[in-house]
Amino acid sequence: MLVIERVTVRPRARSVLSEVSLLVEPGEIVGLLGVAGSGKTALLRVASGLLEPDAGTVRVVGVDIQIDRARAQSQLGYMAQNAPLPPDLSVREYLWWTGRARGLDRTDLDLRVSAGAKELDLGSVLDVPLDRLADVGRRRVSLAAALLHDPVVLVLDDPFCGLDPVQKLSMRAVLRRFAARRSTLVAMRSLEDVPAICTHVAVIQGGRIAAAKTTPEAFAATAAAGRFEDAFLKAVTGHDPGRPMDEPFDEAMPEQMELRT
Amino acid sequence: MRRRRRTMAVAMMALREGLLSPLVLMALATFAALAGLVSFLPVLQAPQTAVAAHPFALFEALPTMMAVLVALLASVLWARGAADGTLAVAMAQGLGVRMLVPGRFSAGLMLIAVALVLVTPVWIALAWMGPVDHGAVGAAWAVAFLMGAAQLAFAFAVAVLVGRPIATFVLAASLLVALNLLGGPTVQAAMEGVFGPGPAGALAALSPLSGWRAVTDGALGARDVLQLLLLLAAGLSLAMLVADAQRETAAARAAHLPLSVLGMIGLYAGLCLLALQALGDTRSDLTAARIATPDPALVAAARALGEPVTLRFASGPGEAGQSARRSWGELLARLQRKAPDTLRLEIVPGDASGVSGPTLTATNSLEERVTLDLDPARGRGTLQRQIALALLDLEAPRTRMVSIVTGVPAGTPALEALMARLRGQGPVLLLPADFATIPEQTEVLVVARPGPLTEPQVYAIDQFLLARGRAVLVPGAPPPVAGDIAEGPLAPILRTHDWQVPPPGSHRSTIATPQQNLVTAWPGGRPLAAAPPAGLAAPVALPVGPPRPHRATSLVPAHVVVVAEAEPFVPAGLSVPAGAAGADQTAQWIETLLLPSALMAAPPPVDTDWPPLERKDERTVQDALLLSAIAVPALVLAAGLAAHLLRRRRRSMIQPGGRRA
Repeated sequence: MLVIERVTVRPRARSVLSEVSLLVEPGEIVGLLGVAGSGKTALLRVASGLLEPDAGTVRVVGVDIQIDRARAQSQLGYMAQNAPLPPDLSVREYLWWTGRARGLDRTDLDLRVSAGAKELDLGSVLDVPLDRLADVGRRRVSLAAALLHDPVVLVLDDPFCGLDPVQKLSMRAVLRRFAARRSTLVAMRSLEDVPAICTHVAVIQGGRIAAAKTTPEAFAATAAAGRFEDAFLKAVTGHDPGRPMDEPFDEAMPEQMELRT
Repeated sequence: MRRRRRTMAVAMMALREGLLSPLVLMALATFAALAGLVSFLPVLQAPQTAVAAHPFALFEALPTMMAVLVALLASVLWARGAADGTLAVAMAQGLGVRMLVPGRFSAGLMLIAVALVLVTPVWIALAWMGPVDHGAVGAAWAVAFLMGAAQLAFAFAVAVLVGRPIATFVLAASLLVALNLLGGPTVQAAMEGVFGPGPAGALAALSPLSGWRAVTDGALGARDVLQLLLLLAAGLSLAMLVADAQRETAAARAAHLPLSVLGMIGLYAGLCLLALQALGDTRSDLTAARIATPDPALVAAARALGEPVTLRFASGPGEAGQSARRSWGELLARLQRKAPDTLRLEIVPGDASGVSGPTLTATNSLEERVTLDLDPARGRGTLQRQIALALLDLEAPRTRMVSIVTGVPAGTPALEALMARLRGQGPVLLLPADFATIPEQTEVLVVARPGPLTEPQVYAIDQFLLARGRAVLVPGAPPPVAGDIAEGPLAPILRTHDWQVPPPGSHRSTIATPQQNLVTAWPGGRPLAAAPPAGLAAPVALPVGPPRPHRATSLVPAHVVVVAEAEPFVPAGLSVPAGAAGADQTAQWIETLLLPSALMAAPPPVDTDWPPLERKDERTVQDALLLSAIAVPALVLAAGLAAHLLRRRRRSMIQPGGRRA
């Protein structure tokens, strides 16, 4: 379980995150939606222990990540945006050494690398240098590395970015399979993937959670208003697609959805 | 244990990244090629000499080459990962900065070791071409690794601060080269001109290379090693501090990071200066032939000197001069440190010396000189013994030719007996009463109670004195005609030189010239009246004017002793019989003045029971070939073994479920 409680990040005068709270239960995949600069990546960095918040706490399986970062991170798998990988290593080397750096035993690690590669369809590219992989391949490798130690919580930053439709389908299937029994927080820029993989959605705007609901509820609540995209746009910008842009936002603000904290 | 294993995993992964990175491979190849180039260029330009066969040129360039290499390594191993996000991923995998920084740093260390191993063929080839001091070269190689480690730690700190590969490379390389230059002789000399020697020395102490030259000569200083370790610790600590702070928000970081960084730099500077004060020049000689260690006999001779001797080392021009300056400079400096009260050292650099080859001139307080040609072909041990002999020679002056002018008639029994005794001590010539010139070979002239002197004779004596000859003047007339000294035969000379004879009963000369100070400037600075120097009969030493060309003793200044008969200038243990008169008394004076004095002294017995010189084993071509024959296959074998281990590990990963015992 991932618990984010009243997290505030204030790098300078302006807050990037302001008292953000979020709960991700086992088996849930929470899609974090928001426009660029809304604070998605900052929240994910806080959730994965890469950034210390100015206020608030993050608990991974009950362990406060600020108090015992190593123990909390041992239960957490993180996949960064654009899946950065060392370019010169092969897939196998990267996975193997990542496992070693995680503290996994050599013998166990061999099995895990083989099994992970098989499950993520990486068997044919195991000895290919990472810089020769396509985007989807790189994301699969990143996901394989994040899953290598069998974490309870997954934090994924935009896993669908730059993928073509076929690759997206493939990635969706992979995520559904691996996220089923874990607490997964996924930052997404593509709305079309939300219903395919997310059990819940949370909309972040200006460093605050603007709305959070289960995906069916979110869709049900917005069905009357039209498409999900329109509802999202309205949630993050306050603009109703059916109204002219120069109308004041205050009148167009959607009803606040229940915050799951 | 688990943490160490994880750190090692980070290191091995980073090493693998480094070894597979085209940039790093290119840098390593360039490093090796440059090392070969700078090493063999002098060899191609010069015949196979000791100069050419020593990797001095490589050692000159190595700090700069290393600075560029480590800047690149820090850029690849840290800044690239920081910029593309792979380090963030690693940090999210539970790797703290205390694992990530040391792990990646260790990978850099291994790559530096690879670079130095790649350069070892230079060592082997130079050993093949001529005699190489393996101790000195090995010491430099080891310290080069430590220097690389310290520079890498510094570059890592820059990489963590900057976080961009190209900026890291440029900034780290520039700062490291600047730091190296700070300890170099050129910048040091320039800084001395601007800030003075004290602040310039303190600034130079911050550079990890202030002792690099001595290290390449095989003299490994405790301070140099400590300084490199300090830079290493400071760089790594700073890198970890900044990397840790990067988890914090910018506001939190700004609150403490600048102070922490400044504190770290201040701590490094303070400890460097403290090390400079505490350890000074504590060094150990790692050369195979102990060439940076003065011979015990030489040290003993230097310490036994009764008066200071100045050693002036002129290295001569060109590469040979540079080489001689390196090798002899360190040895002479160590010798001077072992006998600081009795030795002064001047090192005249290269072309300014005006000599064609390395030359050492030893000069005592009487400005007697011995010049030695430090021809490397004669062997360092032999040359050290020659320096020791020169010091002993200066300490115990050679027997000198003494000419005596006296009014005591020749054939007088007392004078004949005296001459017989003096001849037993060395060459003595009694000049006839009508002498016209002072014999050319005369080194000491004794004018004791002369009879009437003609003008040419006075002129001859005066010329002798003006030409800085040594003389003992007893200006009184021969008894029983005890005339006024001021009106005696030597009066014109005394007046010319403004010498006033001390009044009777005075223990001190009243010579009213600045030379009077020389009375107390005698070795040891002891006041004469209180404690006359042992073995010195005549107390007053007067240099006569500026140096002038003068036959064989042209370089020896005059050392004139004017004796007033009434003065009790008689050293302890000798006495002039009261009431002795005439020839007897004159003879007694002469003997009293000459025999125990430094003016006519047989060399004291010198303990030359020195341990035999160790044979200087200069390696032959066969030796070099044998060494190469062992070293090259060993190198190839080690590389092959490493490659095999890597392949084996890779195979174990390839086999699904493949297990190793």
